[in-house]
Amino acid sequence: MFRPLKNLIYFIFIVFLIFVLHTGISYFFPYPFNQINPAYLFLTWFFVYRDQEKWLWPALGISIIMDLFSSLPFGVTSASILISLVLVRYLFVIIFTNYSWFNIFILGFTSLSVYKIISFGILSLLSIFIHGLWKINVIDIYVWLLEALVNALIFLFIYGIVKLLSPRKIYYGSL
Amino acid sequence: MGIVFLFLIASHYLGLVRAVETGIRKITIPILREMHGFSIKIGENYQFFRNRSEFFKAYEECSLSSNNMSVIEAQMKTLSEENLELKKQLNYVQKNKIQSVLAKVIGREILTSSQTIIIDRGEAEGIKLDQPVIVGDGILIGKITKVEKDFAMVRLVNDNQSRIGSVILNKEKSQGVVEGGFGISLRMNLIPRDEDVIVGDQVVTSGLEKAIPRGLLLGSVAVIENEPYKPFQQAILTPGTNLSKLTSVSILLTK
Repeated sequence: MFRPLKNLIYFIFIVFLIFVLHTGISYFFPYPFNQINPAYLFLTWFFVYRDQEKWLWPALGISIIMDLFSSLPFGVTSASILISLVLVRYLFVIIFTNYSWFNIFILGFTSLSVYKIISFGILSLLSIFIHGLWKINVIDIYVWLLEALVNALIFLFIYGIVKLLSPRKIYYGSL
Repeated sequence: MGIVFLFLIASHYLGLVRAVETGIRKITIPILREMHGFSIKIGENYQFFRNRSEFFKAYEECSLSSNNMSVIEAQMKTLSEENLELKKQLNYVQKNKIQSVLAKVIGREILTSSQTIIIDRGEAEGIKLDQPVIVGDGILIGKITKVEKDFAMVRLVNDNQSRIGSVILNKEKSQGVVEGGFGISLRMNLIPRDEDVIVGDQVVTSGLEKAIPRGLLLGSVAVIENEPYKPFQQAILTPGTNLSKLTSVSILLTK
């Protein structure tokens, strides 16, 4: 009886912590460091890299909270995050497979890029029905590439730190 | 997971989980408010030490311009009196003043690519989509882009999705569109090439948009780009206020 309650409290705590961390980095850091997306990196690390499927539920929680404070129609951010996580996990398991530092960098870059592409795809589709919702700009693409690059570097940095501190934990499979 | 997600989205749009969403916002909004306030304080200290030499230069310029402003103020008073007199003579009917709601800025959107702020007023105060948001006596800073019962989101004029019909206060009253540039710049496009625009000209809203009245200040011209092979000229504007340090705003309750 206590185990589900304990899991629920743990779930709420993790979601809350990630939200605070994400908000803090977005508010306090100057450009380009405020482009870091810790929520997405965190979820990519545990759901994709560590292959822990249970992290899809905190991903749902975090993405719903981000949607509550987003100027985009409700559901766009959540759908983008969840679909991109699943797609990237599939890419990582089937295509990338090895765990070298180069592939970690590619994973970080690809995951953010896929998230942005799906987000823009959904917005473009919705723009057909909602006039004036969103319009793509060429500069948008440069900004998104920069965001993906910054996050890929941070992802690589996290990998480096974890490898340095506990090299045995860098392996494929659930803990 | 897919079914749960679709159920949550449907529940949101049907209003079934509004109480839960309000509860989550009540918990998270104080955190956003404190972080936002703290980030502005950090930004102020950082800017002061970074621009210390420029601070004294700006102070000298300010002192000089305040002397000129006194002269302009006197001329304005004279014109104002003449205007009142003319209105009386023409039986000018004053339009109803637009009501406004004061709101505090409690945070910014945490998705990094948007320049959107969150305010603590919503539908309950009569706020609707696309209503203009100002600071001071009439400096436009953005438009309402999302409204809930107890909070709203404002897309700032320097957001890349922002577009506002505007006019330059020059001889020709050149019209154009002011667009934002990822929080870095304001750019006025579609200005006819043959019209004279000079640095320092003020840019205001044109009134052609339904909900935005004419005359709200957007900024002033800082740089003009007039290429011979382009059909229109462009101007980069200095915003009328610092859009990264907003703490209180007013929403004009236009229809």
